[in-house]
Amino acid sequence: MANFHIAFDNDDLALGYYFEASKNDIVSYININCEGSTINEISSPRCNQAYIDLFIPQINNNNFLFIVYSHGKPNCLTANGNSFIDLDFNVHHFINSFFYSMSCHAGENLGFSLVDNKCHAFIGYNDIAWVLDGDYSNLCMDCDNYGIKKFISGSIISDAFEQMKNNFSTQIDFLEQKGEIIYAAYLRKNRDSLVLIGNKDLEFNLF
Amino acid sequence: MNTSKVQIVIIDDNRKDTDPLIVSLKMHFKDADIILKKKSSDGLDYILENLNKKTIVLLDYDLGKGELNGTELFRKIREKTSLIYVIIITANNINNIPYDELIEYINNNAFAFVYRTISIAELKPIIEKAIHSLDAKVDSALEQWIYLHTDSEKVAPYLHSREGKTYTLNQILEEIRLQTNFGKEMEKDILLLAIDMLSRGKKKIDG
Repeated sequence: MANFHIAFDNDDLALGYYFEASKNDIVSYININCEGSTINEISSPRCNQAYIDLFIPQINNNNFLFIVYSHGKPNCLTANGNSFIDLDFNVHHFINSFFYSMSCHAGENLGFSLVDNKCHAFIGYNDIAWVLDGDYSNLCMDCDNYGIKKFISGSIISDAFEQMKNNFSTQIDFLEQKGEIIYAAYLRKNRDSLVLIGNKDLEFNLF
Repeated sequence: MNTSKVQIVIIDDNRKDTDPLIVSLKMHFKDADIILKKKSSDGLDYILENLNKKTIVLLDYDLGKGELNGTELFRKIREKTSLIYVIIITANNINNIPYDELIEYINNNAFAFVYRTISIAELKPIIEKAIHSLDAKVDSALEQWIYLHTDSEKVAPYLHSREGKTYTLNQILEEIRLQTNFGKEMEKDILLLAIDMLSRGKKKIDG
């Protein structure tokens, strides 16, 4: 029985809808494919450092999955305009976690710091991550959540990561065929800024 | 709207529609629209109202007399777009043009400087080179692509960064025209997309 903790900044003015839809998408997937798992949804009001510092130490004796949909910077993830997971303050709480962040830049420094602090593995972007609006918002979300879904369905993390990148390529080609050259270009940018840090052989059954 | 047709706009207060240059241009560039504007303000208005068209400007340096002079007009164009090629025509000896104006032309990508006495045989290859550059430039192609969208599509949010920035197509267009860092980065990303698709065998270069 896996323990999922999903932080999402649904109150964000520009992308709250997207962060929440991404969360809903993965929650549906978990409910269908991981019967018996627990899901802790951490919405905007609880996306703050106090909550993280109080709550995560209570659960980190066991392996857990932590998924984030929020804005990000190289050293921290932000919600409500403030950092709530920060390289300087609370990355050490994420011992025994698998950390999946779809935020900007988190793969630059934060991911490495998490793994240095005994997080099993990290997947995220090491540059600006882009969200496609309008008709292709769901396609973008599909790309974001593809890796975690493959991991949940049994692929070791490095295979899940490769499948995630291949799915990006498939969608890039689809967008190009549709004549959406800017979206295709930015999806390529997202794909090429994806990083996997930590234990490449990590398996879901550890959770 | 045919966005791929080139227009050559001559801004010159000393020419008429029957001027040999105009007649020759019409003869040698049958696929282009040849437009004469005798007042610099009319020329500027026309250019700004037709930014969506592939435009080459033949600008009389010696314009003036109560109107914007050639350098002022060039500056006004560059405040709005760097995607129009401007060929400066002068009756002056180039040594008589103030040094700071020459620097301004060079630094803001004036396409060429020619003397008023230039023959059509000499001018034709310069214009052909400008047309080829317009066709081959990524920024021009992007501008044309954005212009194919409806007005409502152009003002709707199009692309979001997970750093918190949102761009509409009109904003993207402005960034490209003004060659901001974002605009230049976008051009690079389009090229990287093309390279990515070529390297994965998804696209072939036409022979």
